[in-house]
Amino acid sequence: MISLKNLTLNIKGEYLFSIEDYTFEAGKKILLVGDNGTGKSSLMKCLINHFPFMEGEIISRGEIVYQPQEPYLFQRTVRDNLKLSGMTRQEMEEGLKELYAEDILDKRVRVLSGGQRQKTALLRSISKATDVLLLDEPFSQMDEKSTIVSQRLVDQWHREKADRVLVMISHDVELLEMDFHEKIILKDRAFFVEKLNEL
Amino acid sequence: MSTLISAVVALPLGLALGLFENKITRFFRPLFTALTGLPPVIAGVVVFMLFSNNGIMGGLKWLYSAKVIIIAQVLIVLPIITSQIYPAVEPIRESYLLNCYGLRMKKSQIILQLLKEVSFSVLAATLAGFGRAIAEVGAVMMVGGNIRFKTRVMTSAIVLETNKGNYTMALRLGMILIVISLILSFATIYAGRRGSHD
Ligand SMILES: Nc1ncnc2c1ncn2[C@@H]1O[C@H](COP(=O)(O)OP(=O)(O)OP(=O)(O)O)[C@@H](O)[C@H]1O
Ligand SMILES: [Mg+2]
Repeated sequence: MISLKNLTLNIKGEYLFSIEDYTFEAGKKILLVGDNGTGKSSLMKCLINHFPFMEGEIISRGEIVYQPQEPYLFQRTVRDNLKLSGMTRQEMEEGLKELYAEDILDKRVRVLSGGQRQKTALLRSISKATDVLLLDEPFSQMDEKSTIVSQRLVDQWHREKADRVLVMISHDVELLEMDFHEKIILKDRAFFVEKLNEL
Repeated sequence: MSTLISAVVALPLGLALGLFENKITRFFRPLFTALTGLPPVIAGVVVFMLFSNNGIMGGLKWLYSAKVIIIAQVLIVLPIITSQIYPAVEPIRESYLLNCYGLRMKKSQIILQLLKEVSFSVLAATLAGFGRAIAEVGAVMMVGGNIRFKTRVMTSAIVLETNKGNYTMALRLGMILIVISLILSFATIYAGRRGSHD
């Protein structure tokens, strides 16, 4: 659960938007959309307290794991990265296989393709997350079939515990099959919430 | 020896300069880079003045011992190593830290992992520092003298043999030094390349 009160994002005089009162409620899957530069990534950085141009109050319960729009993969191989977030060998192999990437386990991260990078990052994030998971365009470079499997993995993670919160930014909404509970829209320097499904 | 001491000090220094963005680091980064251009003889003069009989540390009577050579060399090598480590950290800082926080990594883990991220740059920097240390003669002779088995190093030995007119010996020593330097240079380039491609 993350609550926002009178949040305003203002980057050196460039006003982005403000949020009077909003709560990312426990158990919900929330989609965050908006055109380029509307402040989606910035809002996510606010949620982990890593955005300097913000005023207001954020109260959160539970541990937040956040995957940036451009994930940084650690030296040196995919295996090293997955190990760092506590995955067992079997989990690594199964996870990659499901994502059509069983051949990258021992590849150096420098040589990975964009989609392969995102697959590595996603497995790493999911296995690390326990309460709240924030994903910034996690499938933007994946092919269609991988995108569909990835959504299933994320959904699975969300179902494992009743009060888990998922917030995801995405542009290709038509590819999504995840039954979000709410959609946040950033548009014209404002913040809108659309209820989609009841919890 | 002096390279080892320098590397041990330069490592946290370089990482800190790369990792933190504030008034202090903004002041020290160009300072360390400027210090690499310092003629080594100046380091010699400074150490000489410190440890000469009238100097602040004169009471230690360290002048013309191996200790002062090490101190002078650290002064020369430290900025070289430091100023090669922080530029490796700086460009990845934002993205690296954001990801580490995002993955809830502990502070100790963040620093340990960062070391792995820039390990090749650290190696290259240390080799470059070592190359500089063994090539140095002016500062070393000034503070250490050129005492057999005590403060005589490769370069000061070459100077001595040349002065004695023993050119063959000087040349032989010179050749050895060239070979060591070349090996170091190749190692440095190799390490640097591994670092940038991996
Ligand atoms: N640290 C910063 N300094 C200056 N401007 C910034 C900073 N961070 C973000 N901005 C600006 O804030 C605006 C919103 O950026 P943000 O990355 O949040 O957009 P976004 O909605 O995620 O866009 P995209 O869909 O392209 O990812 C942009 O105009 C960007 O230039
Ligand atoms: Mg963005």
